[in-house]
Amino acid sequence: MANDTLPHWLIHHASIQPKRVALRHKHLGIWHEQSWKSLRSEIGQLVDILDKLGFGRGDTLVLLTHPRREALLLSLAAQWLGGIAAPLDPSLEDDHVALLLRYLNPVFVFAEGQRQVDQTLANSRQDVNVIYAEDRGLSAYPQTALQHYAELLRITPAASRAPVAEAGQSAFALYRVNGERNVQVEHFHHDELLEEGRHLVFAERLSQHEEALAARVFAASGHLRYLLSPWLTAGFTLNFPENIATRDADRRELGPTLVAGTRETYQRLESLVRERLPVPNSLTGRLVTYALRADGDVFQRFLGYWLVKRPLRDVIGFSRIRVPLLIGPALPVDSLQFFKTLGIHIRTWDKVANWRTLSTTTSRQLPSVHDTDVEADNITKAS
Amino acid sequence: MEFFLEVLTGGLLAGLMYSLVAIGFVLIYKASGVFNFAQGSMVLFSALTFVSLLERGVPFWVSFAVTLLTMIALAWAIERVVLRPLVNRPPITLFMATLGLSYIIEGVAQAMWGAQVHGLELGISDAPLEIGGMLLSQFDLFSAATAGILVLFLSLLFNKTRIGISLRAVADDQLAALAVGIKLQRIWMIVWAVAGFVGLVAGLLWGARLGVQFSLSLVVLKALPVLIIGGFTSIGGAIVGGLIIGASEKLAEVYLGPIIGGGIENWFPYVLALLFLLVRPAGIFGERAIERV
Amino acid sequence: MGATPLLELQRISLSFKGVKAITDISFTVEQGEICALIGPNGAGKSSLLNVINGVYQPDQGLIGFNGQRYQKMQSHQAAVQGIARTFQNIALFKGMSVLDNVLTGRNLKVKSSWIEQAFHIGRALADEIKQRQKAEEIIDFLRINQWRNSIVGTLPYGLQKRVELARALASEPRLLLLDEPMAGMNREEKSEMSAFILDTQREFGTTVVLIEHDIGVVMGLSDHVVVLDYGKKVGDGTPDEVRKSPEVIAAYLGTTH
Ligand SMILES: Nc1ncnc2c1ncn2[C@@H]1O[C@H](COP(=O)(O)OP(=O)(O)OP(=O)(O)O)[C@@H](O)[C@H]1O
Ligand SMILES: [Mg+2]
Repeated sequence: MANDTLPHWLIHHASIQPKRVALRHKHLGIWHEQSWKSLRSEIGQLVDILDKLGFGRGDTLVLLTHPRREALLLSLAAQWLGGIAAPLDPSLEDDHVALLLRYLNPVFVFAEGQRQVDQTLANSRQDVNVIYAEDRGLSAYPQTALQHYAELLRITPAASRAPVAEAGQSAFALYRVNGERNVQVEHFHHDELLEEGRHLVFAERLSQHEEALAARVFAASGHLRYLLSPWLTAGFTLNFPENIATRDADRRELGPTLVAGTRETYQRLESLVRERLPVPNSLTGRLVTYALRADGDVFQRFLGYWLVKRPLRDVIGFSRIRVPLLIGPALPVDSLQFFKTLGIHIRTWDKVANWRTLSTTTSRQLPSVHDTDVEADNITKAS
Repeated sequence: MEFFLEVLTGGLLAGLMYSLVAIGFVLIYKASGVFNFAQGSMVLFSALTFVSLLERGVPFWVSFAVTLLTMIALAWAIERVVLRPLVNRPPITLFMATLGLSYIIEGVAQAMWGAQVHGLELGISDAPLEIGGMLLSQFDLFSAATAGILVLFLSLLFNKTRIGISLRAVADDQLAALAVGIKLQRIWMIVWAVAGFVGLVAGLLWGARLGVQFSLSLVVLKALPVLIIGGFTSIGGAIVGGLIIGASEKLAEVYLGPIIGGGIENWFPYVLALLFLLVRPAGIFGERAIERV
Repeated sequence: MGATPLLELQRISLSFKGVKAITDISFTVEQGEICALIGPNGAGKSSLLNVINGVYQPDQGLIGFNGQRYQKMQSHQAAVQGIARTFQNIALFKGMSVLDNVLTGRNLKVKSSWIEQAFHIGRALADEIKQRQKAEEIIDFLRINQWRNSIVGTLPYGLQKRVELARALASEPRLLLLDEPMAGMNREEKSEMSAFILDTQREFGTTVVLIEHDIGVVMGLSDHVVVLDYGKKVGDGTPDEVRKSPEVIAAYLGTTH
């Protein structure tokens, strides 16, 4: 299918379920919702903005940010124009960020706030276009190439144009630096990504009613495959926490039905629950053990559910969880068993990563503009 | 069973009368961290003022309004003369001050209105009313309803308004409250005025039941176990404490009375309160650490 | 910079039962600057802040603020004039949540009456939304979102200091008085707090007077340093001037802390 691309799926949902909530994000303590229709029109505006900046087919938009809605919208806009979104993991060391930026030498960057803008300006060409989300501390920056996301939206009306993305094109490119300080890349093509998303949707029976929490959407390939792509295929609601530090509290408020977590996520949640558990040999401790016994009778299971499991699941915001996914490295058996006693059956979804080494930094003097040329055949892989 | 329910309900209703007195204490304890010994005198003073006006032919609502204004004026005077000079003194000093205050208020009341006993007729008959097979005192029902409305009013005032937040702030840290521009004196004045109003309502109901006389200030003693059980800092606690005391003393009277002998009502609440002190010193709803007096 | 200084202390003296805490101190603080008060323990730094925001009334001298002169300030008056502060020993409402603490900082901005608030009518709703919005902006500014609903008394010391700053900022002050905002913090926490103070000055144009013992922090943060010793002023100037002044070195920098 020629139109099997992320932007086309977005348009699809905007037309069949325009009023349903596509995104929800928390800002200044309040959840804000955005429908598929409004999402489409905001992306339309972004498409115009990127186009005016000269962004076109095959261009790369580098995203240096924690997960946030602006980054997702800009990615889709870039893909709309036939470009590639390249989110860099925000938890990378400064040194690696610098290395990647120098290597990619981007013309278009979305930087979250002052820190990311600084990183970008220090490691990029003169004519870089930077869009930022948080204006704190940036008022004194002279660069005219700096643009505030909210300001851009204010001045640009939405124009309607069809996506030029193609199914076989690369939609996302993840870059990293390996132990030998080589830059590596993994490309995600529209059709493959969507195919994997559909696979998950069928296997886990995901519907448009899911509520998913996007604490780390851009961090890893697994999140592109098993959260972003299913979101666009099934058309459910993606929720962004206020910031990375509030994600546990926000999850508790939200009670998502779908969680795509890494081993670290689940281990953190496990320790949150364990903190609440009483000392094993105390009276309450024994009561808990009794109530959690898997082979208990009906009464015991009833007690266990309402007095122990439910409250504990509430602690980590898993009261409504239906599909807890583990992405990437496996959890220790103990932890899996622990979640099982709480009635949470974690499923592992993973696919071997396909990193390609692009360069050895030792042999490079200058960031090259040729990367796109080198990769050209890879970007438009015949489908 | 039916009899049991009747005794229980009667006790609960009577308990709300205790709560009414206890709430006055809670308010002032919250605002200034002091057990206001003068609360009983305020109950007496308001009832006496009201009944004396009534006896001089002043219409009911006018008497009520005048008494209320008097209580507000009293609050203002207390803030000026007692609280302001004693700001930042240890709570025990303030407590002593309220002790003195209680004598002054009673003295003034006596000088103004004399020492004789007055009957107070609020126009509610004490005839029992049959509800769901139970015989309940109409007067008790009326006072319970009054207590309910009062609590609703207080919770709106203290939970929904800036006065409420300011009160909690003042109770928590006076220096910080001043720094954010809260007027300490104004909050104290408001709280004492509201406590005066609560005292007035309690004074009218208790006065109608016992007659308005100097022993009315002793209803304080009934409030003490309520406060110990409910905690000194929670209006809800004062209500629950009152209900527990009311219900248990009536039940004890009826069921234990024949075994141990009558008059249980008079000492049972204290035993209960003592038990509570052993198990949960801060009361059911109180905050921990009542180091202040 | 404006022609008139925001704060002008003229010959302030203060004593406690005959013991002089402050003797004849004068200095000015310009609009938008960060001014540090330094000096050994007991030099009278906190007392001076207390005079500025009306906790203490000076025996002598005048306080000029924003073009007005006051013989003595009242706390309430200071708050109305736009002076906010934090305390050396944290003064927070420990039993309330972080959000409620910050909201108390909005105390003087509330426009609706208590009757409107009690029954949620009239201006009350718009007022509530507005105050909450402002409080949330400050919470976000100081990055305490994740503790928004925590009870302040349960938070670690460094965070409480930040909440106290948040409450002060919530009142949108013109002058911010900070009494040892970094006391008891480790290096990382100190640099974080310094960044917040700088951001406050830059983003909101707030004038700051702060007391701090860590000379490194003071030199990096302030535009202007005033040195006190035994209740007297012994130095006043830019960080560099003060660093070089012999009196200051003798009185303060020379002594070990
Ligand atoms: N309320 C008070 N009553 C009596 N004396 C006081 C009072 N407040 C301060 N002092 C005295 O005034 C002097 C100055 O105290 P102040 O607290 O202003 O010093 P400081 O410079 O802030 O010291 P530190 O660095 O220890 O905080 C000290 O001698 C102190 O004992
Ligand atoms: Mg000090």
